[in-house]
Amino acid sequence: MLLILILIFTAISFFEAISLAGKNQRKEVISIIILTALGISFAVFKVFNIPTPIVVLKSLFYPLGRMVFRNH
Amino acid sequence: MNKKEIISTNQFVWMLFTIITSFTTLQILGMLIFHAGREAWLSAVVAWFLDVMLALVYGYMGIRFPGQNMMQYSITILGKFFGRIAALLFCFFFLMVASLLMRSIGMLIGNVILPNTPLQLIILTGFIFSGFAVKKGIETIARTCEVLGPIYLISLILLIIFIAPLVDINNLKPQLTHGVYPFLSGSIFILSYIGICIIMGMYIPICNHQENGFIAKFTAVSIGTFVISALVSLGVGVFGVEQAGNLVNVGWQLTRMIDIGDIIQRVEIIWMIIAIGAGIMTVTNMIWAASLGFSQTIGLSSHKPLVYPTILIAMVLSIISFDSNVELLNFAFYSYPFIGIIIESGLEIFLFITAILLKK
Repeated sequence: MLLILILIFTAISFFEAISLAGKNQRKEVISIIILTALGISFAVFKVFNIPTPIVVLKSLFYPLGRMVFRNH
Repeated sequence: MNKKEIISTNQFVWMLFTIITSFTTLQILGMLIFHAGREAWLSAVVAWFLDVMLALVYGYMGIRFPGQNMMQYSITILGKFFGRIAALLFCFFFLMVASLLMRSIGMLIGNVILPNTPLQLIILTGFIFSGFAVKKGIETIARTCEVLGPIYLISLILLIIFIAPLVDINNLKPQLTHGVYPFLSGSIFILSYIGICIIMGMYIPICNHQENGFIAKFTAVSIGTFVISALVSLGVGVFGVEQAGNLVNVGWQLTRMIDIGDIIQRVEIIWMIIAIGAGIMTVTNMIWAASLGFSQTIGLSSHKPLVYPTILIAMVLSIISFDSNVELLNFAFYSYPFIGIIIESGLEIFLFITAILLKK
């Protein structure tokens, strides 16, 4: 399911990038490619059990949160 | 050249109001009651005061750097390298909030209305609406919020009026049984959610009266805090502090209690449609801010080409970051408040102090 969703958005971004490439807007095209690659790589990371930034932040602040909230 | 988009002060207020209340009427109120107990309303009042103080800083920065949003003045203050890092922190924060909120909306819809529908499909649908709105531009988003905001406020006021007779005042007593710690730490918790309206830093440069930034935020956050305080008080008053603290969605449960003369019943679905609409508009605002921030940090002429790639990242994070709803709630309760406070208050105050010290 996630793969299908990623393909849909990658296809949309791809068509957008093609039209921008036609207008010679290289910076825009490169930005689209980088951001799309970032989105895809987060999904690939999941396959290899590499945590997403949100999971990293969660584990970083969770102990502090346990100390502060509902600790009375 | 792109046409400069302008919003009115009125739209500014309704956009902020939609953002504040949409987040807090999902799962957050139950968590606040769980932590602060009967004093949850007091947490909201303290958070309101702190947020108004924060709004002063954002309002001042908006006037000190006219025509620049917080991403742009980060670069003006800190220089190209460190400024871009600060700007990207704001962008990723908005992206994270969009992911978190859309996942919360997906969880709510999945639990209540569409239990057999895959979560991914619900999230995808929400993001497609958001993407369409962001592509149309901030003026379209502002007009939608200008229509949706008053409807949402009226629905909340009607909810308060209909539920008030069911309140058992004894459930709200005694106050401050555990001292001041629960409500003070609870105020930090709720501030991190109310504080999402730091997005005002993005609205100020596109407002037709930039000097009205503080007034707009003050108005929105005051109405929003009233709604939050009323809902938590009603939740505790109707269900009792133990039960209300364990409810995933207090607002939803309150709407289920409405029963007028055995004729008007089960109005929760109407309220839910409005709440989900407001939630999706909030996601839209976050995606708009993130994609605009990315484009300005990179130096692009328009943010529109980056809308769908930004949505792709938000959607992937929203789906894969939490294996279950419990993980989402744990993140929202224990981890998010610190991230929110660091970005919303810490980063902005750092920029404010640096701007004064460097005389920028």
